[in-house]
Amino acid sequence: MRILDYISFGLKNLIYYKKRTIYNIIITFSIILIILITFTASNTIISFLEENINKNIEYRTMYVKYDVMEESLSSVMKKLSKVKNVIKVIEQDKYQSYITIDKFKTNKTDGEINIIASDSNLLPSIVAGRNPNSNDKNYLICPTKFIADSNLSTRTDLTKEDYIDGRKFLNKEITIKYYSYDYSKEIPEVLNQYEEEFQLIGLYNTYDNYAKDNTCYTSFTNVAKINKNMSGNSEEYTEEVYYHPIIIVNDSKNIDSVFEEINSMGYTPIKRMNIDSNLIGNIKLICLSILLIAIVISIICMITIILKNIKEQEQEIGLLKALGYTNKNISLSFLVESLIIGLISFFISILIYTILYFIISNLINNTNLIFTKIAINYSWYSVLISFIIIIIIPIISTFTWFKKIKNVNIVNLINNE
Amino acid sequence: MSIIKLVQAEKVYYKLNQEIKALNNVNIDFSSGKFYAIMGHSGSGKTTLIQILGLLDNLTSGKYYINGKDVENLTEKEKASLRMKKIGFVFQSFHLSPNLKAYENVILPMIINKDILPKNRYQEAINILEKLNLTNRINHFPKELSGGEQQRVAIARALANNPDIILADEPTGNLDEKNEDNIFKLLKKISQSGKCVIVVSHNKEITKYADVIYTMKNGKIERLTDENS
Ligand SMILES: Nc1ncnc2c1ncn2[C@@H]1O[C@H](COP(=O)(O)OP(=O)(O)OP(=O)(O)O)[C@@H](O)[C@H]1O
Ligand SMILES: [Mg+2]
Repeated sequence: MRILDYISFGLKNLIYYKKRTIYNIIITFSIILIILITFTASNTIISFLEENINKNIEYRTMYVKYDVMEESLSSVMKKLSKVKNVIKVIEQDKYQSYITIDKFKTNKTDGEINIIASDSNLLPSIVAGRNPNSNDKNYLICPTKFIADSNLSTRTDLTKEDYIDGRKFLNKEITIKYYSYDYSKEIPEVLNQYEEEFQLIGLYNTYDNYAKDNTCYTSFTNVAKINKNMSGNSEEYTEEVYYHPIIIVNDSKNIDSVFEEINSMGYTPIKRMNIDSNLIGNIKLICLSILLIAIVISIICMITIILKNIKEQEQEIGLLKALGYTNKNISLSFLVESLIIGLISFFISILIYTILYFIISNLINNTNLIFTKIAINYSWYSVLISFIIIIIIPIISTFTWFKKIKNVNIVNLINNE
Repeated sequence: MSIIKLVQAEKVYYKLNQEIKALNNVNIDFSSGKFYAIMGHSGSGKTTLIQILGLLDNLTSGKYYINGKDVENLTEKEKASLRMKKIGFVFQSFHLSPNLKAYENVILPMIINKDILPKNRYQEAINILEKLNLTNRINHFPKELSGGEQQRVAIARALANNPDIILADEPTGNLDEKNEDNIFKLLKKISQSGKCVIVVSHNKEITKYADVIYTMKNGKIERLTDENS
């Protein structure tokens, strides 16, 4: 029997039993579509969690405490820079600072923002404006919607109306203000007031990286300069100030291993922000279990369809055997039939999936919701997996059945009504 | 010369601990070019016999030879090959494939026959259907055919691979008298073309056409016509 015979055989059967064929195609393509969608959804959720956490440098940052009597800062920093997955080691005072911006003041807030040192590799994704380049000196990257207040975390009276629209300041010059203090006095007095012109060149979504609503980013140089200015004459008048190093890890996934490593070096690492890895782990677990359940149910459904198909045609099988068809001929006929159904369903579901993908991606891209832009990835992986399922399941079920039916009496098959 | 032969053939069914001897020490020869009728009451073992001859079932004990070869020693594949090339089986209820047109039903056994080239299948099928007076029905589906026409298509299918042996179990069981005669005439003609035709029927009509008549009773077989006929 040639392959062409099997195909024309299968097609004739499928066309004659139209109703059954359409029913089987609908079920099979729904199954594949469910696999594709669950795959994409769980993929999107998981990568959303992982990527967005990674975009917030604070989740990848740790203080490292060490015994200042035993070791010098520079030696500690040298050792830390050799730890695997650590991409940056800086002094604590070069990492972040607080400044006031008069333009950001409202009747309820004092205009103070938290600025964090960053560079183009460490920044969250810019949704309006642009990324800084090497020519930019005094630049700021701020949230699209933010609140500038020094007590942000303890304020409960702030509402939606108190948010500042970052777009109003985009590409505008803004004056930042900070002070240095005279530490010779009992209560330190203002020694100097600094005012500098900065430009707000880009906006990011705090929803993207879970940053606090008063967090802006600028260069490492700027933060170091501001902190240096702010310290005023402290070196002369205060007791010794010990700075601790801060390290930045390449990926939030590695934060725990780096933490352990530094611990074992005899230092005390302290995470800037704790990822609720349990929560994320649980969400991932839920996504994966749903995916697994979807796949298992799909496979069971497909096997059921195929076996039911075969069962309904037992008389026909008996006849074919009586005419001299071998078990191999018959099994291959059914296999080809199942494969045809599978492939038709596969292409329909890929088509629907692709259309759905474009519709939903477009919807998300074109809404100006405050919500983050969720990146839906076209899941080639799930396309591949469903294709494998479409091919493997008919093969397995047909040959399992083939083994079972091999020695069934032809007379019993023919008389089966 | 005998083409098929049963020696001390026995077929026993077990039902509710009860032993039913559907074939009881059957010794019988069939030759090419003859029309055999097997008659007998209901339950006498006719269907059992013809199914065994058609390699659709196995004997409980005894020997079955086709062209001198002991069937017991054949593999499943070899038996399938014999069913395809040597034997044409006609069922009482036709058993045509409803999804295939008349000519496609006739092609069905040719598909697995390597001796017939794919490009020749259609013409072969048309030739056979023509001989059975079905020229105008080649593109009909079974449900568009009368009972007599369906049975003729079934006979055409049995002839598809030009087998030496034609077996039919009550081929006229579902037909009226006129069609009955037609089918018997047809089978007679086929036997005259050199084939061994064995037909099970409890219809007296068949005696007009048969060269040799057997009758069965409680699993035993007895020849009614004398040895020379
Ligand atoms: N699968 C089976 N299991 C048990 N007993 C069976 C089976 N098939 C047939 N028999 C018994 O074997 C005996 C012979 O049956 P068979 O079908 O050969 O009779 P028959 O001569 O063809 O009858 P009819 O003219 O009614 O078709 C009967 O007693 C029947 O009940
Ligand atoms: Mg019978």
